[in-house]
Amino acid sequence: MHDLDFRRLRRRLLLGGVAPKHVERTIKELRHHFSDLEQKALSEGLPRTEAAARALEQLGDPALIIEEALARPELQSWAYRWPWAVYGILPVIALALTVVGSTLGVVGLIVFAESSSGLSPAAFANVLFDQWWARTLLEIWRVGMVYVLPVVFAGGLCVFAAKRDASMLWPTIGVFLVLFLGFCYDLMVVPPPAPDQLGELGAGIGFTMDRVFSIRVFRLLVPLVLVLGPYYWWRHRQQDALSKALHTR
Amino acid sequence: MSGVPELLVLRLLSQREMYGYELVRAIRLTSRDEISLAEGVVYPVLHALEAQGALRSKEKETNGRKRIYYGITAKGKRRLGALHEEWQRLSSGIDAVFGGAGHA
Repeated sequence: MHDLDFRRLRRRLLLGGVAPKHVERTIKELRHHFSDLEQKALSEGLPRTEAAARALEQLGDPALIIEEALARPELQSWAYRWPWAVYGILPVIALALTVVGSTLGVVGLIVFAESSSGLSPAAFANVLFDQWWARTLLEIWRVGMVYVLPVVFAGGLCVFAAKRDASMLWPTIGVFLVLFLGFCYDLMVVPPPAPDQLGELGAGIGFTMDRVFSIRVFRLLVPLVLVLGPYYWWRHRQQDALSKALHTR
Repeated sequence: MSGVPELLVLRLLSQREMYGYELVRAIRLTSRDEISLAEGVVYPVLHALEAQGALRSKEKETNGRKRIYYGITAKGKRRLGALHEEWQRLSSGIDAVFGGAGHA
């Protein structure tokens, strides 16, 4: 089978909802099968072009292979069966759990360190925030959770969708929801204001339409452009390359 | 006919492990070329049976090339038994119809 036929077959299987792991394996096995058929024909003395044509005929019409694969629900991907859940709900839940889990982890670590130190909570907080590396680590964690993590989740969602050749709608909605959640939550690390007072590690969710809202909205718009821009460009290039190949064949 | 590719695949893989190309050759050989299918169609059948737990697969190297070999599982053997029974019922039913038509 011509390499382009394999690419077209791969794309049609993905568009039909077959899970990528099954698609990749099917293509791999079909390539091997085609090669075996071609070798057999060559060993019988056929020239290469005739051997390839015979192998292609024996392998069967790609439409039949597609029909057989699409008729089997076991081979369908979750993302095809429930795109709203896979692209819309799961990433939002995963992001929320990661932020909550990470915050609890940091709090747990600080509580553990405090109880192991034998110091009073206020004294420990002051010792901790006196250390430049502790302040830096906490700030890296906060910035990572607030600004970087939503973008990583949204980008991962785009890669996941592109590999499945998914339609653009649900991944776009999913990216928006993930970044909107990222826009709404905030984490705060506040050093002790006085030597006898405690520091603060806070988390909050929500937004207000105050005067800084228009500035804060960039926290949503910039990641949206950063994630969706390359995603749309990538998908457009994918489709363009395939249609060009089909026309020049 | 529905279930026939599964029946053939399970039957042949119950004898020994095979990879796709080998399996298609075996179908043609054992059916004395009476059953010939578009060879690529065997892969969705194999993958679906594996997803159902009737087959297991492993990659092995043969003559310097990596192949995916398929073998039957206990669940696959039970499925084979059920499909075979169903096929025999269907076959004897059709025989009866044709036999009956001959007597009419």
